[in-house]
Amino acid sequence: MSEKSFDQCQEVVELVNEYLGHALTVEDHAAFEAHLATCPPCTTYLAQMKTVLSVATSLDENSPPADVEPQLMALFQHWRDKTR
Amino acid sequence: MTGHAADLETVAALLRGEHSAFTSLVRAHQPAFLRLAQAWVRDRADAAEVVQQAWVFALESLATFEGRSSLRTWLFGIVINVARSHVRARKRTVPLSALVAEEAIDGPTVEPERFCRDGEWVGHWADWPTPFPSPDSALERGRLRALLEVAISALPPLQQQVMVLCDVEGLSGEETCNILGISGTHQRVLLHRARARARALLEENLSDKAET
Repeated sequence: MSEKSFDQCQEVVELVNEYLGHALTVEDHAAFEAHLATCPPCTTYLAQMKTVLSVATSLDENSPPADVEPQLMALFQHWRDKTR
Repeated sequence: MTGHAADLETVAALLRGEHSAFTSLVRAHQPAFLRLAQAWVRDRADAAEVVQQAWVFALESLATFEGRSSLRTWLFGIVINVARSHVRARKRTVPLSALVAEEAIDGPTVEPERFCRDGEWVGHWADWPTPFPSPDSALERGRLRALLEVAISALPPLQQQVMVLCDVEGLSGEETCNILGISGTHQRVLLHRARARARALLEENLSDKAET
């Protein structure tokens, strides 16, 4: 039985998210990694995508605490007074 | 305290009128709220107004919070609904479905011209991607973060919200579907396209910087 293979990079780039999300079948996962092992540009593409995800996560972690604007506190005070 | 218990305690403290509970909530969520609102309302001042309206609505509806979802998920849903209503009110002639239709979900995510079109290497990279700088150094991380903020804000609204919810805020696909009212399949397609587009924009910006 012949093993599955991904011969075209154009096909591989569309599977990167499923690969990162562990959503590929065992067979596709193996074929994806076999392609990467011999393809520097697809390896770079995957690394770029990992960078995007790692930086995206840090956007929230590194957001400075928001200034609690006076109008928001006034709004809370107004709601509080109304509901007392 | 579990997340669920902490949420209920926060709600109880707000209902008791405790300023500190509101301050903590605003500090924790305001940046994400602004990001989500800006997906629909590009102008920063308008987005801030939308977020303020969302806080008012959240406070008014607080007594109805039952803890079926997390407080954060509940609040995100409110911000998105207020932002969408804002767009509907401003663009009466442009149905929301038309805005969503901008996000064509067919076709490849990497420009076909980057691949060989024929010959022995058909479908292989013709124009190889350039490695990104490592985000390990604080300097590069800061630069990448600034560029990614710009790239995400340039995405079509639904793609932008899916990426903010899943990748920036770390929500699950299921939570994201519930907030946005979309199917799991649609969410996965939107996330795939959003990430690919953000990567492409980052690559474009980084190569511009390298050339100048």
